[in-house]
Amino acid sequence: MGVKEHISFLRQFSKLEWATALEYRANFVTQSIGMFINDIFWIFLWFLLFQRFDTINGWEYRDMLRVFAVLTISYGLVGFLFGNWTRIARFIEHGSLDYYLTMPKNVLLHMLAKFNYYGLGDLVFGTAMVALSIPMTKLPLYLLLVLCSILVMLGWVIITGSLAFYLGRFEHASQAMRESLIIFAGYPFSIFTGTTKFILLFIIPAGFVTGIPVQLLTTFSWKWFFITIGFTAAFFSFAVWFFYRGLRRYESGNVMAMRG
Amino acid sequence: MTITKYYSIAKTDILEKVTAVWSTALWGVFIGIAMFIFMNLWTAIYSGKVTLEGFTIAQMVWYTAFAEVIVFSTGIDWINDIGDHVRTGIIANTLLKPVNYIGWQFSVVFGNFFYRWIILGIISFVIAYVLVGSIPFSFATLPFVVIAVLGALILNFCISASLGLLAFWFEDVRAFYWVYQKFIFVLGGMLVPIDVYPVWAQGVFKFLPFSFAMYHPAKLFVHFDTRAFITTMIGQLAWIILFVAVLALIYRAGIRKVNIHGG
Repeated sequence: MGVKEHISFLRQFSKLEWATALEYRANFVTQSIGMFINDIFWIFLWFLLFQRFDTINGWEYRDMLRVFAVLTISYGLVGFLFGNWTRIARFIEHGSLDYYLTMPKNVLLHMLAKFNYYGLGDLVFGTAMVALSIPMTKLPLYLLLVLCSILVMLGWVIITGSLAFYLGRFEHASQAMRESLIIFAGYPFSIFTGTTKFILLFIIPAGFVTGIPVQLLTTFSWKWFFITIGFTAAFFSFAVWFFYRGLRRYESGNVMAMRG
Repeated sequence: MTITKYYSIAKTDILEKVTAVWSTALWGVFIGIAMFIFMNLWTAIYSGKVTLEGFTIAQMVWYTAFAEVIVFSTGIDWINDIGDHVRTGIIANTLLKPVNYIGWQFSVVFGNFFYRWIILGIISFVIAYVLVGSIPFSFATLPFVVIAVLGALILNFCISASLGLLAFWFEDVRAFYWVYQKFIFVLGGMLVPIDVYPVWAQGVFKFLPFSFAMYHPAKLFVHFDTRAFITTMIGQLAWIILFVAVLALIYRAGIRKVNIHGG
């Protein structure tokens, strides 16, 4: 499958999932609004803290708005298009990959594709954060950094989820690893220094989800720009390779299941 | 007889959960991460100061540890469990049994509270000790702190169960879970003690039910004060009375809907 086919597949898939969402309107609306309010409270916490302290290790309130402009749009888009990203280890553990293996589509893409309603709440909130904190001139850079953020997030869940191919029961652990990345990404990156900063860049890459993108939006540096692009490309490619490498070890679960 | 049957429910549920001890211990990972992040955050905010609003950095970290244990052991996640009971019809089955659904749920929550408290308490307090060492604590105040935590448990249960039962009207209650969780995190002072907020926010948040389910008991642990204990008791009692009434109203109205659907 080429890039064009991948996009066409996602478009067709979105159409179907959108139709399903509209069938369950009440759920769709409450989950979207719920996530939107959920996001408001996070930014409210930072609003309160920055009312007391002007800066935290050099970061200002505007930087936190940018953290959420990057995080909620990336997280929302991943939830919106790749809603099964939380279930990779579960699929492997339960032998549920059989369905995707029999289809002529890209196994990884098809497995990940699902529509999560909460994603819309994140996207609406994220758009408000963009309007409040990203100037128009920086929009192209912002969009590129969001793409990097998405790929790093997806890469991390693909790697941690694929560990189930090698380690067996890994669902809860992979869930914890995914949550950890998001938790670290939701705080000012300036509070982490030394070894912790290195770990959050190159071991648990939360720094590339929000910290470095926000730093680049505030003070652009070609060095960190190329490090971000290079790291994202290498990390995501490794994740895809790691998944397909693990897939060779996959054993069918012989599970009969209905797909709704 | 009545108490015995609810005691048996609590005991059975604990025994079931003990088999999934690793799953509970995994929450310890999140508590550890939160404490680590907040230690870094406080180090940046204090930037050389010894105290902030009467808290040393060590007391801040212990406050976070205690607040995290309260939130994980009192269990906001019951909103989703109760919501599932309504959605899948499990709640209708209890109408046929000689137990009250709310009593049954409280027994489960109460039993789990002790089980979670022991596991997560050990994990969190060990992490806090490793990160910042010990803080001054008088064991004579422990019974009062325990009473305040039990008050938080009851108050949190009444609010969570009321939100879970809204599944009679809204099929999916996960949105209520997210929002209530943030009320506890931010307005309740779980992430940051309310004393650190601007004065106008303190004036409001300290009187809300969320702070009586979180901030007041957690602060008693790091800064015990008899007057603060009495205030906590009065506040918890007032909010518990109100939310017991709300819970009873929602339950009665919801159960009527079960009959209407032909149960």
